[in-house]
Amino acid sequence: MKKAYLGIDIGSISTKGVIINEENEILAQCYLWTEGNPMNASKNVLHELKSQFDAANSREEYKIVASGTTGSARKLVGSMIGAQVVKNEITAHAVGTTTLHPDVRTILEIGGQDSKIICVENGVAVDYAMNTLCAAGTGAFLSSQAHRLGVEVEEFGEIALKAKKAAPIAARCTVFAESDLVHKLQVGCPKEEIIAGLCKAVAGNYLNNVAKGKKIVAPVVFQGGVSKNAGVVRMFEEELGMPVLVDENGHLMGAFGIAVLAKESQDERAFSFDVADMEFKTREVTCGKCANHCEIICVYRDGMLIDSWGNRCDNGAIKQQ
Amino acid sequence: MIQTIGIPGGLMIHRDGVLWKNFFEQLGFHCVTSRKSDRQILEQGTERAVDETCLPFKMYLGHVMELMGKCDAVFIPRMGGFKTREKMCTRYEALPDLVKNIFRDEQIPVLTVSYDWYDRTTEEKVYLELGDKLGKTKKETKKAYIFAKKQQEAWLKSREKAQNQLMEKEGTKVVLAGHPYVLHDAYMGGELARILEKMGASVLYTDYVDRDSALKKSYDFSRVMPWLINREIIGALMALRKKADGIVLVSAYPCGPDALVNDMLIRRIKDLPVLSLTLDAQSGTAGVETRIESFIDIIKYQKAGGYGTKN
Repeated sequence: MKKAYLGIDIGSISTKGVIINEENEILAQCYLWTEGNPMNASKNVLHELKSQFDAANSREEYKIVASGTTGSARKLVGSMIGAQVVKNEITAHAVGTTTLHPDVRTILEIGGQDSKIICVENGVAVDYAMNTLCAAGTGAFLSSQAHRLGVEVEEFGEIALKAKKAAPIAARCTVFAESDLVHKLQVGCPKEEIIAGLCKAVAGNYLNNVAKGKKIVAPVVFQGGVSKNAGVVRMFEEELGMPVLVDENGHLMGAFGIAVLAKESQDERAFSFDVADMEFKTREVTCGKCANHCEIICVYRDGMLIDSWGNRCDNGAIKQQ
Repeated sequence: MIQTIGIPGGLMIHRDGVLWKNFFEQLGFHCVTSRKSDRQILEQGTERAVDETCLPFKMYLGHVMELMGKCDAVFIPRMGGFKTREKMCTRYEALPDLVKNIFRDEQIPVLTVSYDWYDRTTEEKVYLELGDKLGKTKKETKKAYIFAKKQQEAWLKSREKAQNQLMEKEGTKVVLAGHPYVLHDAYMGGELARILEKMGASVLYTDYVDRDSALKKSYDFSRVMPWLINREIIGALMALRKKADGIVLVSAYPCGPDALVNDMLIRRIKDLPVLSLTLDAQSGTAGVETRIESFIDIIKYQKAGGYGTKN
């Protein structure tokens, strides 16, 4: 039987999953909304991956021997599925992208609530930056503006490409952008120009804030949910004066990267899809042992405590049952 | 009559605390310090502060409140700086007034001393003034100051020595660069050191470096920058970077001098990975942990020469 590896990337907005083989080929993939419930989303991802796996009769050919999780809920889902590798999304994205595009030098990524830049030299990340305090210019920002304009965010790219010019909109802050947007609408600016303006603002905001001080060297790969927006892609190409590559599997890169890392961990243990049908619960407890009042997250599987974290000191460590 | 002097456990105590405490004790006073920073101290300080001020100042107010009723006066110096290009930020120029005003109902007795760069004064003169205020003779005060200064220097020297030994060791070394009261505060920078060490990195601090030589070096970086502590940070960074694998710039939100200086640093340090972290009052450390973990990964995989190796 051949070996296969599972990777799940649980972001704030979407949850992604892939199963790869030893040649890094994707055997099954899934992308769906997290909808504020990372555990459920991960279960749904597992159900979907399982049915793709079954449909292709892969279960007779492959055995999943390692799994990994990344993204903001990596810890939670990691303990849920018993993942061997639980790693941050920067490393997962760098590994995934350099596996598929070994010559990449700059990775631009704009997700639902965060955005990052990863600089790569000789196939290894050398530097990175992430957005700081606020989520201006990320997918969440575009979604909320789409809602205001009564347009589906998925249509943004296509509409933006039709515009003759981009209306100037400040994307530094969502509040300012909204008032800019309202003003542009009031003065009768065509919708496609406003949408093109929003795309330009997202690219500009990213380059001025996240990528501030970083040297952007070609080849450039752009990924994350926002990379599906052709309008933003074009604005990046215009601003940077170089081609910007969007991988058709760009949205799966984190999940793919963590699956590769699971493979490379060489820590093998049979994985069972049964976890998708178990009951998981989390509970938040406020530790009262000192004045810090840490919020400790406890994870239970079928009523049994399997993991906990969040304590700043050992006083708050919770004993496993 | 002042017998017990309270020293709030925030802001410059992390830089000059040894000097202050020894000075007062040498003059025969008893000193009390508030406990290590924690969430409760921050919360009570935040409640009294105006929104726009910085996190360390909010923490400081919480520390002042901890000392209420436990001392005869709280020591809050007004430090402007001694030279035009080695000033303190405006927060320090107003510190005793801010505290007196914020706690005007509580009528906190404040012991203070005041100096500015245009006074053309020296540290010794400032302490002589302070001794005079406390009713001590010039002779006693001078003796106490010299003693306290020696203690302070010995304290810094021992930290510097330990850090130099750490620098010669094998393994991943990361410089935490920032204001001492951010780096060493148990609830702010203390967390970062804990996270870094848990990930197997040794931590070097920009304030465990000889201050005079750091200050001197900083003029190679900028001739016109007006802030003393940022100068000390930069000078120390220039010395430490040779032995380090990465630099974490730590700032507490919102710090004016850091906003400007850290931006300059990011643009000018090209030979080492630099991570810029801004701490705010958010209680969760998840965002910070992700950033540090990613940063350490970069350093480790760089050293290993690729992702193919087990980690």
